[in-house]
Amino acid sequence: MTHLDFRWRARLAVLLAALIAVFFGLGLRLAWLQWLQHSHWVEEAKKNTVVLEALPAPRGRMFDRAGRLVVSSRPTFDLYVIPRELKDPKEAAALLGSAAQIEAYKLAAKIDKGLTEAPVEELVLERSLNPKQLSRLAPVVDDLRGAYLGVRAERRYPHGKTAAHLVGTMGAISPEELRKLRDKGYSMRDMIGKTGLDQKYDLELHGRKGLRKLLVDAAGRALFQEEIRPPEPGHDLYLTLDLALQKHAERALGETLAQLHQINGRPSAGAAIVLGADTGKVLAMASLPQFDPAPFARGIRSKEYQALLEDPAHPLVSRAFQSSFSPGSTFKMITGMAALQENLTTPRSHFYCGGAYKGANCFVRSGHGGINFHNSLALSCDVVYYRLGDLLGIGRLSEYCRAIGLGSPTGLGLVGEDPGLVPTADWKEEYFGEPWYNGDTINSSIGQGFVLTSPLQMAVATATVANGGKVVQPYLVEKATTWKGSTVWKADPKPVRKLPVDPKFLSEIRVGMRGAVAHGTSVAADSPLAKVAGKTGTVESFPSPSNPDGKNHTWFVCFAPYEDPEIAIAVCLERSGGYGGSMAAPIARKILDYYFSIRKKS
Amino acid sequence: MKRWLKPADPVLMLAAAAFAGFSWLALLSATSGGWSPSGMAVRQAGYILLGLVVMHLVSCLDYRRVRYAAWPIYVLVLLLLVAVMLPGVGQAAKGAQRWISLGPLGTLQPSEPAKLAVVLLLAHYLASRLKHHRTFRVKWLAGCLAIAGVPFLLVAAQPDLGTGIVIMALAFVMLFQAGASPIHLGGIVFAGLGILPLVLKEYQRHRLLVFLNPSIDPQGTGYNIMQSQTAIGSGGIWGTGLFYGPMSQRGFVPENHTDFLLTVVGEEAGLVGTLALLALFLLLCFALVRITVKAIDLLGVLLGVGVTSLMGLQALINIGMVVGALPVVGLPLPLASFGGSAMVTNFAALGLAASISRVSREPDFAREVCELD
Repeated sequence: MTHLDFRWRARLAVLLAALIAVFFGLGLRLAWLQWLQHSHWVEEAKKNTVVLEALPAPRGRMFDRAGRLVVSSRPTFDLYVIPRELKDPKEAAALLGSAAQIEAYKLAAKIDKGLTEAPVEELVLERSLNPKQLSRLAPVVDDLRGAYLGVRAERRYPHGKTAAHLVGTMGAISPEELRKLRDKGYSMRDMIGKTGLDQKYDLELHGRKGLRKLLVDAAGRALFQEEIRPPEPGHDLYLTLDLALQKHAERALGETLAQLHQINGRPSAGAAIVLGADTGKVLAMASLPQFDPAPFARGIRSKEYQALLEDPAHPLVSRAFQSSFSPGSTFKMITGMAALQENLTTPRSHFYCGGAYKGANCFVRSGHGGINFHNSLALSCDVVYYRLGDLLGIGRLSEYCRAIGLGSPTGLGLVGEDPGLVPTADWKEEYFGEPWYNGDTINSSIGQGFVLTSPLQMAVATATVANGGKVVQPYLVEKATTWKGSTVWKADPKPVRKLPVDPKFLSEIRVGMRGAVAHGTSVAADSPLAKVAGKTGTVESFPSPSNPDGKNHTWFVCFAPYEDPEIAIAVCLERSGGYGGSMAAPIARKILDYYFSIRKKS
Repeated sequence: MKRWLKPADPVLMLAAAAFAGFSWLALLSATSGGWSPSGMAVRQAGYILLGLVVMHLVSCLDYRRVRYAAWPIYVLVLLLLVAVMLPGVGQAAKGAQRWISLGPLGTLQPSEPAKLAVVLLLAHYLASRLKHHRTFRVKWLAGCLAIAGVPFLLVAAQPDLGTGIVIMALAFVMLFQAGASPIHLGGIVFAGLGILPLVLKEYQRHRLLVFLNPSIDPQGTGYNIMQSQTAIGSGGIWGTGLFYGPMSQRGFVPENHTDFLLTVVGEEAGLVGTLALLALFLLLCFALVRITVKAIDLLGVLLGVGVTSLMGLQALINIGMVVGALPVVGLPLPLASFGGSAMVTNFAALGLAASISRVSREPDFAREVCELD
């Protein structure tokens, strides 16, 4: 071995040194990973194997004042994916599509959109799976990383369409809503209240999601689970509604509307509201036509939604608080109280009606002749109110309107409330670029022309007259309780303001309204069970784009019992034709009869 | 006759057996998750036993006579490598054509014996030339590069870049030991790296890019790199315990019974386990180096260096890849990863080294064999 010309042992030593250096380096690297960076990799490994899963909380229920179930929830399954986790989105869409019997390209498009917009957010592909879809999807989802079946509480409406506008609708949470609500425990998979009580009290009804720790394998299969925090069901709401009365009001209104459909050859709409006269609690608020909220709860399809929007009867719009109409002669309550308060007339004044005032006709063309203040309300003499309105002027009249709650939302708190309109000279100047004419004042004083009120606002006005001047704030929820039943909060009804009208003048208005039911325009509302006082309204209309056949809106507002008012009612029929006394008053009568017959029994 | 019963080099053989046994536990954990072995673990145990027998049998041969078989073995291996490419003979898996079916005996992966065949032939080629010239001639470079280059090209075309790299690296280490100028060798490596981007397949280039920045492909190749480091790192100093590694047991590390076997050791036996395994391997290498130093002739030295670098390079590339220090090229850990061809080849290589040892420490044996010569 000595015959070589180069130092082979030295070369071997170099190789050995390199070998030792390399293994020393690998050892250092292992120590770095396993010793110094250990905690970092433990965190990484947890991300890999531990999944925190939110457990949906049952949504709070709604009960009526007697504890009858109005709205509840049931569990349902959604199919959702987390787009980033899908290994092959195209293949996933094909697999899920064939199992759920949905076109794969639709799912693929959704996933593509999700990948670009919110790749780590839960993306719902199909809501409220039917049993067949569920059984076919379960094994597919089990083997598909990134696809999940999730339980969700779906709203259940045991009474169908009853009080649909009040209960409201559910819908998928939008990205903007999620941005605001993420801290409150909402996720992309949630449905949230979009209208009605479900919208107003969503935070309370929503509850608090539970949290579950899952140990999963690389395919996403759960191997072990542990509940960290149980879900906390949302609060239950006890409504002021009387479900029986609500249904009765809807039935009474519905019967009349069905007749009108026959007469007018088109669907008709209307509202009937029953308020607690002293508190403003809503005992019933019927609005027809209404809609079925169930499709919204399972995620309404755009075709179904489009059909509802295009329905000429506009079933999604509540006629009780989301629409406003000219109040017609029901407005005379307000003109009358303003004139008394402003000393422009006295309860004992006498007037003469010759059938016209400054070119405006009384609806009794021949005139009422000599007439006192009480009878001017009972018989609804236009000439008296033309005169009183003329004396008041639009400035003072509009102030009284605002004082009694017209022209602004009542505070019911549901989305889309129509504030109505209280016209002033400035408003007309701005809106039409025309000066306010005296004729406008005369028109307004009998609730025609520019004034617009929602039936709810007229119900509040009637309650204010009945209770001696407290402008009430209508409310729908008496109390909220936890799911176990302990009270979280109670409604504390306080009047919004005191009407600046002497209570003695309001009692004179009540005398006139009692006269209307006893012997005047509203005898149709006279009930044997209670003394009723009311006021009719008939809005003379002319054919216009929004009202092609020029049918009258008809109104009736009332309260009862006369001596100690308990409830105030407003009924309004949209484009019904006929008169308030013949169309609207009989509906109020049916509601009154029902209310007082039940009350007598209990 | 006594020779057949006596182990040629007890340190080398015990270190190899211990390393293979330790690694088999990791394989058992990865494939079975408990003490009752799966089919793969049973097969691997069979390969290890077969390997030990082959090692002992080879150690009983005289490496100086084995040299006459260097060319025939080399040619046979080349034929097998060509056969792998033929449709109907070769079998493909995971996008590469690497296996030949042996019927009921399973499959053969010719690229494994190819490494040993190259070591053997290069040692023979260089030793017989150095015997006459006493110094390295530059023209031998061409011959050596051709000997390594042909199987390299055949293996790289399968494609199996990891084994190809090992074959070329082996040749360079042996050339260096045989006295080639480091400047020449460096120049050739440099030129080779220059043309590498041109011959790399698209996916190989991708892997190289992903190695440089794993976050560009977190679900693909980068996933392997991330997952293997996560598994090893989360093992900590003491590990989670055999069969209790959450990532190893639930399939979070792909290929953890083959190329990524070390992740199982890292997670379940911790730093203590990985360093112990490394120490065992180093012990094996020291035994090989000692054999090399004590070899009685030039062929023994070159063969010893060849076998040492065969073991060392494979381990270096594999462990470097698993701990995220080298790109993922796909290479098994010698004596550890699942696979019969590799197991038997590596044990046979060790047997060859043991034979060098036997010749150097048993003068009688040497004389006897020489008489035969």
